[in-house]
Amino acid sequence: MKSALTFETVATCSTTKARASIMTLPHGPVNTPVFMPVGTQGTLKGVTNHQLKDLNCQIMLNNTYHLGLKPGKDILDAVGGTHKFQQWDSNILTDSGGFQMVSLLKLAEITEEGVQFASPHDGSLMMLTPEHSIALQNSIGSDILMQLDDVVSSLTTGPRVEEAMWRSIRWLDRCIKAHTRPHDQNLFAIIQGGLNRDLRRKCVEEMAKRDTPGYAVGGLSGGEEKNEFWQIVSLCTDLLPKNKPIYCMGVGYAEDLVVCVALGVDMFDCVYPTRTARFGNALTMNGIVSLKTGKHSGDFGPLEEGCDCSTCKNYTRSYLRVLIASKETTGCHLVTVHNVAFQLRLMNAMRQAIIKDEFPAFVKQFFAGYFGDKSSYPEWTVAALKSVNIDLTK
Amino acid sequence: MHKMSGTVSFACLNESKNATSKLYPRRGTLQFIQKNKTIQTPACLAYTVRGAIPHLIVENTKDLPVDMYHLSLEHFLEEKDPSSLKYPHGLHKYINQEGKLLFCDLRDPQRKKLTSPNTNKFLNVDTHGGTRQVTPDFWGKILKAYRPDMANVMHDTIDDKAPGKKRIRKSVDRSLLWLDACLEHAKETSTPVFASVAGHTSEEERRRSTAETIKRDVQGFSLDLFGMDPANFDTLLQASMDQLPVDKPRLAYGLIYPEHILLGVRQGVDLFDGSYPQKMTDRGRAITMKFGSTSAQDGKQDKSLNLWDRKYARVFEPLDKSCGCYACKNGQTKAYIHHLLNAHEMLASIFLMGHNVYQMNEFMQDIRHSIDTDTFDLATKTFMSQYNHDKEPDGAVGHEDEIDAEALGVTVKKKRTLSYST
Repeated sequence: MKSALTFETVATCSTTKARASIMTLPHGPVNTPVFMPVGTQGTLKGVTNHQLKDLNCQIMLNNTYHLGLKPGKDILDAVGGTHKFQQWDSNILTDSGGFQMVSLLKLAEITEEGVQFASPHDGSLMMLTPEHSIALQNSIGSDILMQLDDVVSSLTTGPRVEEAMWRSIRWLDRCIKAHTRPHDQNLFAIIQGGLNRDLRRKCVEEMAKRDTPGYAVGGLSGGEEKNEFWQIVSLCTDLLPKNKPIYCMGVGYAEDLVVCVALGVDMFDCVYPTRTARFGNALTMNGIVSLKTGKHSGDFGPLEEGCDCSTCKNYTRSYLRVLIASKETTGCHLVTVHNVAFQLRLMNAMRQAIIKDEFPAFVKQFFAGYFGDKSSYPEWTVAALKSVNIDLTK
Repeated sequence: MHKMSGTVSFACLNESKNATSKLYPRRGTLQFIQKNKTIQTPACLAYTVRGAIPHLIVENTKDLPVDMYHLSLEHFLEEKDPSSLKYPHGLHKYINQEGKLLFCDLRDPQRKKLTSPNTNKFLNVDTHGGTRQVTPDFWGKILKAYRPDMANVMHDTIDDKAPGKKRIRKSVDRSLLWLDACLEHAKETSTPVFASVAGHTSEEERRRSTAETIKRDVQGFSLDLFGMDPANFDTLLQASMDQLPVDKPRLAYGLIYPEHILLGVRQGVDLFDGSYPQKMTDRGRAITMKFGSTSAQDGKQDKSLNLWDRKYARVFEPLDKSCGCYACKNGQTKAYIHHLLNAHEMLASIFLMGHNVYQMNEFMQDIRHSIDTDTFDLATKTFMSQYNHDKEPDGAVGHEDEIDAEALGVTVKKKRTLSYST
C-alpha cells in the first residue's frame, strides 16, 4: 500500500526491544518513541499552538467522532481540513470514531456493515461504516488515520473476540479501498484478537499482508490484567514488521510508557496526563504531586525540581494550589503545560538513552525515582522488563 | 506639575477649557519612578482574579500592551493563614507578574460576593474558605509581604442597594478611621496609597468625605459608583470630585461599560476598572467597537460580536484584521472560535479574553488621542449615536449545541438483524 511516511530507525537498544526512530509525516518529522497529547475537539484543552510548539510537540491527536459532530464534515471540507481550522501546522493523528461511539452513544451496536448507533441529534438509527469513517478522516485531513476496527473489550471472552478480529480485517480492506488520499494521509491497521495469542498471531499475519504505513495494537487498555497486557504487546511487537511504526493506543501512565518502549512500541496516546492536570495533579519523576490538598500550600518550590517548562520556571506549588483550589482556569492551563512537558520529556529522555545505548540504566533509574522502594514496583513491570533482559530487582 | 513621594508622580497634561469647571476630560501621566514606568491616563486597570487576567496565564499575555493590573486582596485570603504572606519575594514574583504594575484593593471591583457586615474594627471578606476579618493591622501585614506598586486603603463599601442616611454616614466615618490607621502602615513600607472617598448615594456625604479625606497625605483618590443608578453618575461624581486636588489621580469603581467610562472621562476621572473585557468574554462576545471617529456611519452597530451565533460557523476570517491580540495575529478565525464555544472548550475564553483586553486598551488609547486632539466631545457624540447601548446579552443563553450528526454516518433504513453487541 502507498505510504505517505518514512520510518527510519536511528538506534536500537542492545538489551531490550526499544528503538529510537524518526518518522517523517506530511507535516514534518516526529522523533519516536513519541507520546501524542490528545486534543479531542481540535484543541488541546486550554493550551495554544505556540505553547505546544514551545514544548516541542510534533504530533497531537484529534478525535474523529467529536470533530464529526462539531464542527462537522461540511465545515471541515469548507476550510480545507483541521490543520487549517486549528492553525496547527504540525502533525495530527485521528482515531476512527468507532471506539468513542461505542463508549459514548446509546444503542451502539456492531454489525457487519458498521457501528450502529442512535443519532445524538434526534435518536434515529445511524451507521458508521468503514467507508464513512475514512471519508470523515479524509475531510479532517489528519496525517495518520486509523482504520475502523471492531473493538471488543479486553475483558470479553468467547467467540465474540474471534469474530471481532476477522471483522477488523475485513473492515481494514474496506478502509483501504475507501481511502482517497494515500499520498498524504497514512492509514494504520489495528491489530485485534483480545488476550488470545493465537488470534493476535493470525491478525498480525493477515494485516501485515495489507502493508499499511503503520500498525496499532488495539483492544487493550480496557482494564485487563497488566500481566496479560504486556504479554500481548510484546507478542505483537515481535511479530509486526520492524520497519513500520508500532502504536499502542490509549497508553499513558509513565510506567506503562517506559515498559512498552522497552517492548518495542514507538507511539502512544492518552488523555490521562492532560485530564489529571485539570484536576490539579502534576506528574513528576518522583510521583504525582496533588495540588488539591492543602499539603503544598506553603511550598515555594516548583512542581518538579529540574523541570524547565514555563510553569516550573515561573510558578510555585503554593500559588498553583491557590489557583487549583479555587478552580481558576489558569490553574488548569499551568498544570496541563507541565504535564505535557513531563510526558514529552520522559519520551525524549528514553530516546536519548536508546541512542546512547544506556536505556536499561535509564529504566532502572526511572523506577527508583518514580516508585521509591523496590517493593513498590508493580509486579507486572518487573516481569515485563525481565522478558527483555532488564532485571529491576538488581 | 507637582512631585509627590519618591516612588510615584502624577502630572496632569492639560487644563480645563472652562475657567469655572474644575471637572473636564484630563490627560495625565502616572509615573512610577523607581521602575521607570509611566501609565498614560485615562487608562483602565486590567481586571484580575487571583493575580491573573481571567483565563490568561502570563504566556498568553505576551501580545497585550497592558502595564497596570488591578488586584483584589480578597482573592488571596482563602487560607486561614495565607501562604502568600510568607512568600519572601513579594506579590509580583508570587503571581509571576514581575513586569507589571500592581494596584491592590481589598475587594473585587465586581463585588461578586456580598460580605458580612463590617464593624469599625474590621472589614469582613467572604472567601471559599470562610469569612476573613481584615483589620488595618492585617492590611499592613499584607502590604509588607506583597509590596505592591500602589494600594487602595481599606474602605467601607456598602453592598446594600438602598442604605439609610445613618449607614452612609457611618461608612464615611469608618473609612476615615481606617484611612488613618492604614496610612501608618503605608508610611512604614513607603507604599503609595489611594484614599477612598465614600458617600454612596448621598451628595452631602460625598462632599463631607472628600473634605475630610483630602486633609490626609495620600497619592491618589478612589471613589465608588458601583451598583448605583447611572442616571445619577454625573451628580455623584461631581459631589465627590469637585474639591479633589488636581495634582493627584482619581480612580472610579463602578464605571465599567464604555458609555460610563466616557462619562467618567468627561468628568476628569483618570483610572477605571477594566472589567468590561472579562464581562464580554464570559458572554462569548468579542469587542469590536472603535472610538475616535468624528462622523457616524449609517445604522447602529453593536459594540461586540456574539461568537455563539451560528452565523459565524463558516466565517473563516479573524475577529479583526487590524487587532494585535494573539488570536487575530495568528489568524484564528471566527469559525474556529465559534466552534470552540459550541464545543465548550476553554481555548475560546483564552482567545476572546486576549482580544477583548487588547481592544479595551485600544479604546482607552483612542480616548487619550481624542483629548490630545481636542476631539473628545465630538468623538463621544459620534460613538453614542453609532453604537447600541442596550445590555449586551450572554451569547450562550438559548444556545443549542450545533452538531453535524449526519457527518457520523448513514441513516439506517432497514431493520437490522440482531448481532452481538459489545
